[in-house]
Amino acid sequence: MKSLFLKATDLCKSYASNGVQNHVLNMVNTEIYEGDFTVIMGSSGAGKSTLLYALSGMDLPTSGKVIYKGREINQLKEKEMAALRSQEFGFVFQQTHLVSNLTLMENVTVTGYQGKKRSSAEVRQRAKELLTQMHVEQAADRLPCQVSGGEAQRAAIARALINDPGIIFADEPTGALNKRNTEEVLNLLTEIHQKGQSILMVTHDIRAAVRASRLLYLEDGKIIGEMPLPPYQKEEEKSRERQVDAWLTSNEW
Amino acid sequence: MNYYTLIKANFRSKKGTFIGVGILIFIITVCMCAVINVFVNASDFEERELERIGYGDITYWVRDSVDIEGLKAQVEALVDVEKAELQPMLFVTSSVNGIKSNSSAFGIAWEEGAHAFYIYEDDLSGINAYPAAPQEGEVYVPPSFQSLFNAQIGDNVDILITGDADVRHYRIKGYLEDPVAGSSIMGFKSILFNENDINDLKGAYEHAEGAALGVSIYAFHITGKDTGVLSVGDLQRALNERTDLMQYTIAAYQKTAIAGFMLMFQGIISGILLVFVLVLLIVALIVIGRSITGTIEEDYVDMGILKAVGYTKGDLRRVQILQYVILILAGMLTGLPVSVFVAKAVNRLMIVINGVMITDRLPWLYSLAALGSVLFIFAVFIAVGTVRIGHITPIRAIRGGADDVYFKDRFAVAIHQKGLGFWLALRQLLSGKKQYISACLVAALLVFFLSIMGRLGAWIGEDGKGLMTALNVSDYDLDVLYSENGIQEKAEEKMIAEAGIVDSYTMRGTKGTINNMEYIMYSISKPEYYHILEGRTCKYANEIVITEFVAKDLGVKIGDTVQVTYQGNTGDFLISGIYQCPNDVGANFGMNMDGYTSIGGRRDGDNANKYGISVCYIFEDDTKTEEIADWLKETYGEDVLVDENSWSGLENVLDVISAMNVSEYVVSIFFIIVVAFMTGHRILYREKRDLGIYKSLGFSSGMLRNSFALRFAIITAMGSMLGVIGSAIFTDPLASAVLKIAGISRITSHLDPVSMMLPAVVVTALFYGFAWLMAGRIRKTGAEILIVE
Repeated sequence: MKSLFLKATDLCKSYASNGVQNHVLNMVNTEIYEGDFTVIMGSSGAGKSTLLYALSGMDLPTSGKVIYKGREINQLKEKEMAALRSQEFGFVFQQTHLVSNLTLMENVTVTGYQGKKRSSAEVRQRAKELLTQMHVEQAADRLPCQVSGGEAQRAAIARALINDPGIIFADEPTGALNKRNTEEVLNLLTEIHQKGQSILMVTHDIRAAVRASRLLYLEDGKIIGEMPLPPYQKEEEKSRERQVDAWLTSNEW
Repeated sequence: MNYYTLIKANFRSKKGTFIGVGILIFIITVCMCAVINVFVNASDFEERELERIGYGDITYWVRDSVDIEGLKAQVEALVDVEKAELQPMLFVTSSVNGIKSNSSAFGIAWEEGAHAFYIYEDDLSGINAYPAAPQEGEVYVPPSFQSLFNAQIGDNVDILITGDADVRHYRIKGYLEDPVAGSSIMGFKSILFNENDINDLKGAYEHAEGAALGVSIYAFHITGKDTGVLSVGDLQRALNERTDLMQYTIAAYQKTAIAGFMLMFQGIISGILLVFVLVLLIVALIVIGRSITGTIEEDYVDMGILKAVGYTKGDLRRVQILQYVILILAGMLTGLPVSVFVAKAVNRLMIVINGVMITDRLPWLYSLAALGSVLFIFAVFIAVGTVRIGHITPIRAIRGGADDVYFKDRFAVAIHQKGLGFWLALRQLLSGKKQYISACLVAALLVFFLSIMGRLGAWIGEDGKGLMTALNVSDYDLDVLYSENGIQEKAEEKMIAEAGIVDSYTMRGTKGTINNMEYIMYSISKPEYYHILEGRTCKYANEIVITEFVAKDLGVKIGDTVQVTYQGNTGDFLISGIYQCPNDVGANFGMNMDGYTSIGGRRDGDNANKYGISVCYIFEDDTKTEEIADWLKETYGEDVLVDENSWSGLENVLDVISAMNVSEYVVSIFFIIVVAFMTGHRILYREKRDLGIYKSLGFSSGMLRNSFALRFAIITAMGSMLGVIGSAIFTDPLASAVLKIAGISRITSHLDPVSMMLPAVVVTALFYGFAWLMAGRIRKTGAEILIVE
């Protein structure tokens, strides 16, 4: 029995634009479990990223609650939220969002220092290990503008892992990458998930979705479908793709 | 029209930056035009007013008991003399509110007409157009009586006939403009009486039982012919050599010397403010330069797009130049009228020191010339600054702007866990260092100037002792003239017990001539106490030291031999050195006591002091000086004349210097706000995304805000150190150049850590504080900025 990690209740998010109210999230109720690789899918504009950021406390919902390990994160003060982000959450963005004047190594260590879970030496050692694990150790001392998109994204994953977060939130992590880099990043995410890392990812890419252990389908701001998947095996990838494609089609994707 | 649209759009999108530039120019215009106003109006005010009340190129104050008409005829007979006029007056000794003046005043009868003294409104707000004549028992006095004697309208002025028991009382009716001697630093003053009172006083002096403390005199105003060949100095020498004037003269001053001495402090303060304005101008150039660079970086893509749609680099540069010129003109046009009010306030503040109210009409020609020059410098600077617009290509701009050039030459400084905020601040600083250069240079310049002022303040001292020492002929804490035998020993016993005497020497100040030009002649028994600038002091009996003024006046130098005359005795003296003493605007010279006796000076006998020789004391504990001086006055009354190396107007001068310091700090604060805002605004705009990332990584707003402000603290602390070092090197030469106006040619300020470092701490703290306030918007910059739906 997996333990409940994150729970959203009656989550709504709406924007006013030109006098018209747009309901991006509409009474979303969902639960995220520890150790799951949960993937949210849906068509463009369905509200996938909005849901991800609302669940991670990055963005405030218009109404509803998000409970993380028993704490309502929308009610947290700024400092408490900052502590949660540095110690419990890890983020991987579509545009990598590495700090532009820090090297890849520094992007990782600065996050580690802020997490305050390890000593300086331990943070540096762990950062080296992660960058090696992500195959970017040779680019560790370069600035983000001096490396490829794939290298930057792998460094971003290392950064997300440095404080051993409870969960990684990944927003289209392969959206800006070519095929080879996409494959590498997905392999890394799969690898860390298989070691027990909880991941919540948004994607519209079936190749990414097949790495999940659980799929959620979002349409017009509502979760309209859910599909559990067995643990990922490389040799079963094609059949998983077909299975997921069929499920998506059934949801009118 | 297309330019108009672009400029309007720029004003809309960068209003904060542009308002900042406008405020800087406004402040500079106000300060610069106010200083010009004060300087220009003061420079011709004195000579104009002296001429109006009938003063010539030179004025001799001569005793009445001579064949005055015969003397006048002698003077008029000189071919070089255009005009010679006599003005009768009294030389009186006064006491105001119980404070006896150390020197005398000119008692002048009230008269009306074009040559009359102006009378001020009672609140000193301006000239009274219809002043009432003083009735019997009433007098008009200079406004500096307020600072010297704390005298207000209605207070009493006592004129001493023979001593404290024989006095005439007069009520102060109001204040007169005294361009002759109104300044609080002048040793005598003009007092306007009712004509009957003048006649009464004249009679009282003539029929006094005992030594009268006043005498009837004439001011002899002599104007030379404007031949263009003969200088006023030459005219004075001719008058001294070819007439009997010198035999009857109490004092003689050239008009320019009176004007210089009257407005000495005005000159010093204007000079200091002028240096401050120059510093502000350089600061503004740096800020605007940085603003242009920042604007181009921000608008890189937009400019590329504009080029893509047909705008030339010339068009884009003209837009930039035009928008800044509009801002500069707006700042200037609003600042110019405000400067008149500031000049008025400065003159109002100075009136109790100067004794005269300098006019504050706007000197259009000078102001417009100065503003035109500033506009030209800025326009050239902006034109050069916008050259880089030519390097923008549409394709480069559209492909991502200038991001790649920002961090290519950064220093690598490791980031540590301990003090993470500081290390992040340092990294950001080094990564974007050119963005912070303006804050660094501004801090350096402001600290440089404020530190100089701090060191000068320390040199002047809280009690003004440093200034007084510089203004005096030699160093001392207390100067006492004993009139009776036996007092000196008892007084010195008290001094040793209370303060300890480090050293003492005797001094005589009188009148003497060098090559027939009259100056104050000092003689001291320990000539090593003269403030020597060049050469050496007068060690031997046949040597003298002279001031730079006298050297220039006579055209002599160290090593020359001159003739010194004292009371008809003449001797040849070698000039051994140049010394500093601004008394009488530097019209003085010094010798040792042996030299003094060699030309007839007397110092022998039991009571040498009856020959006007005083004793100067240097105390071990100079804080006891006032206490000892009071004891001497109380114990020995009129048997001692005590000089505490101070004068009652000093307090007001110190107040004005303090007010000036406060004003400089206030203006500096405005500059710091504007620079912190402009720099901070641009950096925050550029780092919005990075701030979002940091927030997503768990950094709190407080930490990011503190780290942001720390960058300013680090860079401005570095700039401040440069400013402190600069002030350590340049304070003395710069201050000496400014104070030369007052005849002080050399300043040797001490390295006072507090006064030097205080501006650095204040400027750094202010930059940190304003950057921290500015960074308040970090709270509103959330991680959601990274969200792309």
